Amino acid sequence: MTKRVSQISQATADWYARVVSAVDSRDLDAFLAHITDDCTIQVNDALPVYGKAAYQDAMVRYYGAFDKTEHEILNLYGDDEHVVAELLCHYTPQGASKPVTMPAVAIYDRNGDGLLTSIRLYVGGGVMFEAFTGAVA
Amino acid sequence: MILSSLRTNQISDDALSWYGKYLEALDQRDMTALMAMVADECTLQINNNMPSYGKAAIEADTSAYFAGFKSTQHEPLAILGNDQEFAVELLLHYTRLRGDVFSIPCVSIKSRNAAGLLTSVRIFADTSPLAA
Repeated sequence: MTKRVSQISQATADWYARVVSAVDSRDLDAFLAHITDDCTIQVNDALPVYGKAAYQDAMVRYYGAFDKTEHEILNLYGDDEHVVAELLCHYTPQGASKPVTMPAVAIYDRNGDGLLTSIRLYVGGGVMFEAFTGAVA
Repeated sequence: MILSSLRTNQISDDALSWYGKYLEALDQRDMTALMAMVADECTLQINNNMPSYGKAAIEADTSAYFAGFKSTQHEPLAILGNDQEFAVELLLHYTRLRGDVFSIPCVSIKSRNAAGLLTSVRIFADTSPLAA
């Protein structure tokens, strides 16, 4: 079995588990409570999504593309301000009978209040994150 | 290799020096120097592709990778972790064989053993521009 890495504090690991749980349970309010008003999200080299309102729109599109998402946390690197999560993303497309699984890395920057200011996702097969790869006016 | 853009570094000076040599070996295509930094049982995986297992396979795959481009230049932006397990966020600048240049952002996660040799390299990026 591959050794698992967790370099962040238990408090931050618990926080991250809550973030992931909010995403997977589609509790948009709970998720958005973890980000600043000016948070950015970028997938690979796509134009970033800027700000909470645009992020909310992107999340609605993201949920619309999949019946279910499940994020499996493999390893956590960094510290409590800069967190790197190595993940398996198990995504079931709308109408599909089983999930597609892709490995991915998410890098998070947090401010002094623990809120997310930047999220950067790195994944092959970026089609899973198409909701975040168009510029939103 | 461009080190001037490194804004966050959590590894020691020794490990950073080692990593700089690793990037130099990659960008100068010094296979001997590169393989000297890799453990016999190292694995290399890009996204969800089948991993390359062991030094011989990694050397073969790296040779094929080098042959596909005129040159590469690695520009690390952040190194997060410790000297044995760390993640690098970087820009990879490629010069294609036909001469045009493009860049992709990526993350490379590295594991090193007690002797400082790489035992695992996992790379996460949208690699579709490489095939264009």
